[in-house]
Amino acid sequence: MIATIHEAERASGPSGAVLYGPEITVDAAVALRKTGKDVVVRGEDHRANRKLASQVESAVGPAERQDPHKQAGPMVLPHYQQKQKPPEGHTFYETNKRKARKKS
Amino acid sequence: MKFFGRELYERCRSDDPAILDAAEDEWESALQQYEQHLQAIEPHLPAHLREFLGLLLHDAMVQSIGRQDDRLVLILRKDIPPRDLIILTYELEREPLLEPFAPSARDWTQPTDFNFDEFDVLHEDGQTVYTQEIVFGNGWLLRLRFRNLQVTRAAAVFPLEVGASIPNLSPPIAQSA
Repeated sequence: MIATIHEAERASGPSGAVLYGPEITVDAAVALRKTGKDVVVRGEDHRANRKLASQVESAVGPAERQDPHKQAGPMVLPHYQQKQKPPEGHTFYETNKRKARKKS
Repeated sequence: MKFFGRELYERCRSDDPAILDAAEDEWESALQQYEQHLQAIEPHLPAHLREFLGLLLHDAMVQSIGRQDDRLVLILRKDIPPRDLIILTYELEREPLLEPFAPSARDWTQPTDFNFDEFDVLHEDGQTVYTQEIVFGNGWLLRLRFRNLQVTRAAAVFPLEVGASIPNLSPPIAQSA
């Protein structure tokens, strides 16, 4: 399964979970990120997900990785974000252990 | 930092996929160990500090840092809705230390945010002392050692949220989560 990019939003409450929506293109993902919206890269290949997430965020501007932490909630995903905001928001990616949830 | 040390933090920013793979696994292990550490100390903490540990401050923007006598005041605005203001007033037991954590730590002329932290409790000479080490988004580390902490949460009415034209000074509707 190849990595796919999706619209995303963070679940309300303390879980830190990432909810994924419709699949989008790289260009659409970059456009969303430029407006401060979240996106998530999904797929079974952790390394491919990370690489694509880095590509998307780096197309917005100088980016850096951030790791999950208790202060972000137990179900948060690792992500790339801008070194200097704005834009706010994140390009999350799935790992072998951490997955996004489908938005209902 | 006992759990999320500088060396691990740096490897988690490597451009080498193999190094990053291993570092991500190691970070997950460190996170698991840190959560076990918190679970062990939480039952012995006063209620207001247990609440403090559940605030979810990652990405909270640093609005201001102030000092009054032996108190340090840290004012944050949370990143997640409803984007509350969090005012932390530390009753310091020792002078705080601020030092670069990342090799490429940026200067303080630009806005920054709360990245991650470590919290601990110490029992020394019959006294209880708390420690918190905060790594900010700009790559700086703040080491705090304090006797107590006051947490104030408030709905932010200014700066304005998108779509608002004047500050709404009404009490916010209570949130369940």
